[in-house]
Amino acid sequence: MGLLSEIKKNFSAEGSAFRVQYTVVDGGGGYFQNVKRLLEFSSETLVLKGGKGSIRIEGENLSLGKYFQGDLVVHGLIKKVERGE
Amino acid sequence: MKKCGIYIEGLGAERAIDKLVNAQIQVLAAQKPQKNAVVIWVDGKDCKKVFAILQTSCYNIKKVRPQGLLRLVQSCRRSAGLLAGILFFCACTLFFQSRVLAIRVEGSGAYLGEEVKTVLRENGTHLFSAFPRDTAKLSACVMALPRVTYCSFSHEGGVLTVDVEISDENAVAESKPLCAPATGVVERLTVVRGTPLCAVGDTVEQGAPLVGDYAESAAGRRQVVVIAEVVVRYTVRTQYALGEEAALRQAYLDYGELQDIQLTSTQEGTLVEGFARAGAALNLQ
Repeated sequence: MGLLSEIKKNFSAEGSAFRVQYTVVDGGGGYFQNVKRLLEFSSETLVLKGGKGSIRIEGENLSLGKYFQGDLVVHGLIKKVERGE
Repeated sequence: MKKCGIYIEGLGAERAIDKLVNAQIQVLAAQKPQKNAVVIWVDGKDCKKVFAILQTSCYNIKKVRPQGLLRLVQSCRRSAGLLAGILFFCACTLFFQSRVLAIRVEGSGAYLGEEVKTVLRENGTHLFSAFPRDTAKLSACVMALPRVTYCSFSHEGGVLTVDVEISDENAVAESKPLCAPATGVVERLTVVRGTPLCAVGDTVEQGAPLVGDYAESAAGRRQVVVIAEVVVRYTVRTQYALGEEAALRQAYLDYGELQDIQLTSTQEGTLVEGFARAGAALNLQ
């Protein structure tokens, strides 16, 4: 019962299970989950699309690390992360 | 894991990354070196799959290979064990080339091998030691051995070769007269030093002095070392209790070369008669 309510909570919380979730290291790169597509890729800008919404990443010397099954590692200096629709 | 770099060029090259990920190819890294190109790294075993997946897409795809010195460095890193083995082998070869792996004594003084090796050992030169630096001192020690007149050292391929030459010039020879080896007639007499006491054709008794160990001069008689050779022809007359052939064979064994042989069968066996030669020399080869 507890598990089901947690699942329901996750799914009902603004569809967060489908959004891109991320962890960013200050002054470094970041780790992004639930990535469906890579919309834009350059050394200054990255745009990632999740199941719902997208993420715009700005920084310097950006490059991709491991990218597989929705998990993506970004190397470089991330200055800004912005959510988009 | 061996990584494989692939350069993808074309419009929207970054979409190729999604295409690969959707096809369950793990992208290990990706960079954008220029506007319409990306460089991705995948596992080596997925390299062919990448080319197969992107075959129908409008991209220029090529493998990224390191150029020049970097390629050499990568090859060396792959064969680090082999390189380490080669270096170790070369180091061992260079090290042991400077070491003594065997000692050889050559020349007319080779029979002094054990004494020479003892001299070397006493001066710190033995198997697996370094090649001796001060060969002059070693030469002096070896030349102190009896009859040695020359000594040299050479080192090649780990073998220390000692060339020892001997000479009898300085040897103290025994001073004694040359005596007749048998009773007979002197056939040949060669005298280099000493006083001849007989002539060719003389009949001599066995043991009689033929060349004296002295020399006469205006100053008187002085002792000298005899250098002479003599050959005496003597009669052979021996009875063998054997047949003719066996008796002749035995006679050759007993007396060496025989001349004017006469074989006479007797009741006791065979009588062998003839002439043989006996030689004697002092300080003359």
